[in-house]
Amino acid sequence: MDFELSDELKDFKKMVREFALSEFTSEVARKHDFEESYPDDLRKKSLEKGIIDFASPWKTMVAIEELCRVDAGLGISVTVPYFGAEVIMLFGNDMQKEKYLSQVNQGKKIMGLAVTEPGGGSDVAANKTEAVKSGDKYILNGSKMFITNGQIADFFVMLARTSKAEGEKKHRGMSTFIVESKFKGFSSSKLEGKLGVRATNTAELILNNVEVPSENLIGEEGKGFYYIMTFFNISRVFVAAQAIGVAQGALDRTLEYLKNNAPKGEMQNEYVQFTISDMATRIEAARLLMYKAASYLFQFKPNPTITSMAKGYASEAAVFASEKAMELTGMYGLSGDIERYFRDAKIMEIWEGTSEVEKLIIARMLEKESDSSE
Amino acid sequence: MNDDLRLMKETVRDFSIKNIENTSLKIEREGIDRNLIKKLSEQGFLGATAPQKYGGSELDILSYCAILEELSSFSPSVGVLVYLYNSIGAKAFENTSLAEEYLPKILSGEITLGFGYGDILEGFEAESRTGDGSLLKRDVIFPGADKFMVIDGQGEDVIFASGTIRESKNKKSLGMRGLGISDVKLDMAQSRKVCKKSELEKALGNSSLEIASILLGIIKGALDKAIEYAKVRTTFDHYLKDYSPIAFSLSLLKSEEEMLRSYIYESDANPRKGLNALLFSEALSKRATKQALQTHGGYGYLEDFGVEKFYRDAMAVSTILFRGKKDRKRLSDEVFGVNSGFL
Repeated sequence: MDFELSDELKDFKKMVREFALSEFTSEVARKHDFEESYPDDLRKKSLEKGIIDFASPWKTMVAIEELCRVDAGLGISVTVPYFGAEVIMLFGNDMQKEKYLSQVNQGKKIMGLAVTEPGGGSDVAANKTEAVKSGDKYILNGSKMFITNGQIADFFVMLARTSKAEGEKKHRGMSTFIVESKFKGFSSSKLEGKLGVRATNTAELILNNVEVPSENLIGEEGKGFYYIMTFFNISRVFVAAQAIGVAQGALDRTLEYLKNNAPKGEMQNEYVQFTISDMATRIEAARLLMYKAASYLFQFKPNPTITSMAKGYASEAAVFASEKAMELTGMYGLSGDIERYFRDAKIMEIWEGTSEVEKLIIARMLEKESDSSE
Repeated sequence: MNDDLRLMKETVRDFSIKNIENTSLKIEREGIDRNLIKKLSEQGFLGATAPQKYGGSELDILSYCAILEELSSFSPSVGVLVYLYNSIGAKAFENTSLAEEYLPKILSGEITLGFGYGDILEGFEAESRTGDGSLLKRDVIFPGADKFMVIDGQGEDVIFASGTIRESKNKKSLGMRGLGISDVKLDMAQSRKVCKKSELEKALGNSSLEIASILLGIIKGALDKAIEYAKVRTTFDHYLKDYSPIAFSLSLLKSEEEMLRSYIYESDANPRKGLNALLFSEALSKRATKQALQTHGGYGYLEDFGVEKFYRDAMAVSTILFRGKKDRKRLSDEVFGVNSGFL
């Protein structure tokens, strides 16, 4: 058992940190947070710098953590243009990979994942968007909510129902499609006034008789729900990385304040010491869980229990650490950059499966595992 | 709670439904407008505890707490504004030669008042001199006001001066967006001394029960929204309220809210009542607003649903009105009867 990253990853991590510190300045982060604007220039720069390397999921995870450590809104913005790519990578055909994924990998296109629906939230099987086969195409009708990159993506991996929901087996009869934003009948409207991660682009999508060629069906018809759940098992590790980045960044900035800006002797106060110790312990525990989940996943042996534990615990650690950072830094934190961590952290407990959903998954898996061990 | 208090709460509630509920999102986005300040004045809320001779209502402390709670449950920004006018502004002016000239105008809403007292919060340097003799005050609450009550450049006195918002910080404040927080450049040539900084510090220290009432309003506003939402929102074919973790946590938080309310409004006062209520409400407000937002899921993260503001404001009130270690130490000293919590 080795708890160290490889030397290559350590060097990579250092490079990403240097990039984030030089590009994600307070001024830039505040501007995009205030204006709720997507930092497309930073997306391009990060690509040129080789910050995103999809050939290495370990690098992706490390990059997400390091970028979000400096600023979550910007960090997520530059790593999310590939959101949903794993669905095509794992279940798409060569034509789809060539036509769509290669463009994304070259930074020429942005993609998104469109699963959540208004009033649907984590209950993916309750989705209502319909895809009706008509000749060599599918006609899609419905709407999608809280879609990251909703206004800026060139295409989406979208989940839609291809046959009616039947009683308890609602999750059957769903399929995934590649839907281009330029298809007729597709429209999006930006969701403004988010609490945090305001540099990211979020929108509601409307599909009004959108014609999608049959060749854009990913994998087999009716298997969409399983594809998406498989994807979430991957992406939750990356959300854990976002959350750990936020938590670590909140701790970094608290320590920086205590050393350089706080009244003399603040760092020696035991109440303060206990609080930062608690923050650091939770961050370390969350990171170890994430490494374990990643280790299973990147060896193609995903462990949904550990993945959900990592995502759930890391997001709670982010909320905890950012709250404590505010408490310890007071007006300094409120008027500076730390309050942004507090606002950004909360989404981690909500997206990609709420903390409640992670707990349900853990409990179900425990029940299942205890059955099989008897 | 006696009948008078109940009636007071109902009156403030009716006022809030009529004047705040439908515009609470606008208040968050654009700030509290003069029209609302006028209405708060006409109702006697703006000068709830101030002497009648200056246009105040001279209400007792618990009626004042009821006003703060109810207003804050709709818009914490409005609750904080009323608190700042009464517990800080009017208190500082009351026994000074400026009271007669300015208090009636302030309490009638004719002159609006902003506040810059970050200096008395732990370790916060809230001012810097500028070349032209004016004073640049950082993080002034309600920076769009006509006049300001701030701590002077020497950090000894509280002064009353005109000022203008310095160029925008390109940043929204974490909380109290209805008031706004920004840097203000003060015209020192026309400034007048109000009182000693220590008196302002004392006023803040003596208003623990009032701050707890604002937090109680925040707790109520957030939990009521979450409980209503849990009754109508379904997920996995069931109402949220039917899931035990959600039902249990929201109802337990509601019990804590009710216990806090009973404690605040009981007439048999414990000498430590204010501090007890403040420390309890500060912690509860963070837990309650977090759970309320979480119950709303993704919708809670959007300002339109009106719940994220309670999450932000609980933290902002905790940062600006509650004084962290200082208030915790005050309670420790009271409990131990001697200096404690300090090596």
